[in-house]
Amino acid sequence: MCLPTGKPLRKVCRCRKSLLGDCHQGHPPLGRREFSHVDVYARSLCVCSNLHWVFRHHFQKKSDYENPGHGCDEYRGDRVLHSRGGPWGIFAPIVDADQGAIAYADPVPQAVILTAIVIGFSIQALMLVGVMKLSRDNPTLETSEIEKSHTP
Amino acid sequence: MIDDITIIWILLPFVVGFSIYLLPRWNRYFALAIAALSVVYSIGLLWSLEPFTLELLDSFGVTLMFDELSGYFILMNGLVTGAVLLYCFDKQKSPFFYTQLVILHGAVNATFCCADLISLYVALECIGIAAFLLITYSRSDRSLWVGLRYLFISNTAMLFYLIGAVLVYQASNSFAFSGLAVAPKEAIALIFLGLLTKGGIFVSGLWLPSPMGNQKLPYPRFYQGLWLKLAFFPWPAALY
Repeated sequence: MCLPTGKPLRKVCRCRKSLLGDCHQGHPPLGRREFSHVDVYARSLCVCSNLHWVFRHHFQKKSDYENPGHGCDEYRGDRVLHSRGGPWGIFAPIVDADQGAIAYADPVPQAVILTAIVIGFSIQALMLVGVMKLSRDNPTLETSEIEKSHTP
Repeated sequence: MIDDITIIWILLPFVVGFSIYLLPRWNRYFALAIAALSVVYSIGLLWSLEPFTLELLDSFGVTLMFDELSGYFILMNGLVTGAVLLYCFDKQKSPFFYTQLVILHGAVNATFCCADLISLYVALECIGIAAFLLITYSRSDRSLWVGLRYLFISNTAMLFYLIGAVLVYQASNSFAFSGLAVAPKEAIALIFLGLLTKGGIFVSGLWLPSPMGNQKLPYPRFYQGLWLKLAFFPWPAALY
């Protein structure tokens, strides 16, 4: 039998017959969902417009969106937390302005640590590739042996 | 006007670096054009402009600072890259080599104009990756081993730097270089440790001669005075 899967854009059948390619209800088989050209164009348009938004907002200079009535007040972090995002809606408000001063985790160091983690991962991936190439000739990866033969 | 030119000038090496792969036939000319652009830009900077600061993405974002000092360093970077390119002009290097060269050039430029600790961190790590790929360009076991050591040690050293940067932020609520004035001693010690090791200066730099001395590529040799010591570029800016 066919199981409905929520509210998909197109009905996808998961019955056993469908896997073999001949569902009695005429649904397209699982894993062979076909997209029309219009579908593909619409989706790529979505992606492009998102990218455009990101570029537009990330390369705004400070003076372009700094305006009064922006919800930024006494202490640091308020701009990130309280602002309704200026005219562009850049920052998501974390704390509502009417909640007053409450304890919160400063998002700036978090962003920095995330950056460091990403960079660290990429460097480790690069080192792993190097180690894999080295291991062809030194399968044990014994550093003292590698040092002996490959130190200039 | 100058803001837009500056942003384009910073972004262009990375865009061109990747598009060299799309148009491999023109790789050398693209790379030469980037080096020439940097030379022209730095001459313009030295010739006509007063120091200026560029703040992108609000007060916690990226801050770029341009003054006479960075102008001279950018000029040097452009000239050195141009010299390397002319040296390699008829040596049949692959597009990959030119891609890395141009990206390294862009990252070095970014180092010279950034004004906060985190931008400096990102730029130095970018330089580290591009330098590793250039060191291991010949893909011999020796160059791989040497490159691995370079990447491992510099990455570990930069972690100490990062701890120091966070301590600076704790003290002054900002990553700007000016925060070093109020930072605790541990922060300055950690940042010094990271930059000294990355820059290969005296005691902590004893690991360094082997990556630099034995390359068949001209690039590490040309650059050893530059991309190592540029870890120390921010100090004059920080001390003033």
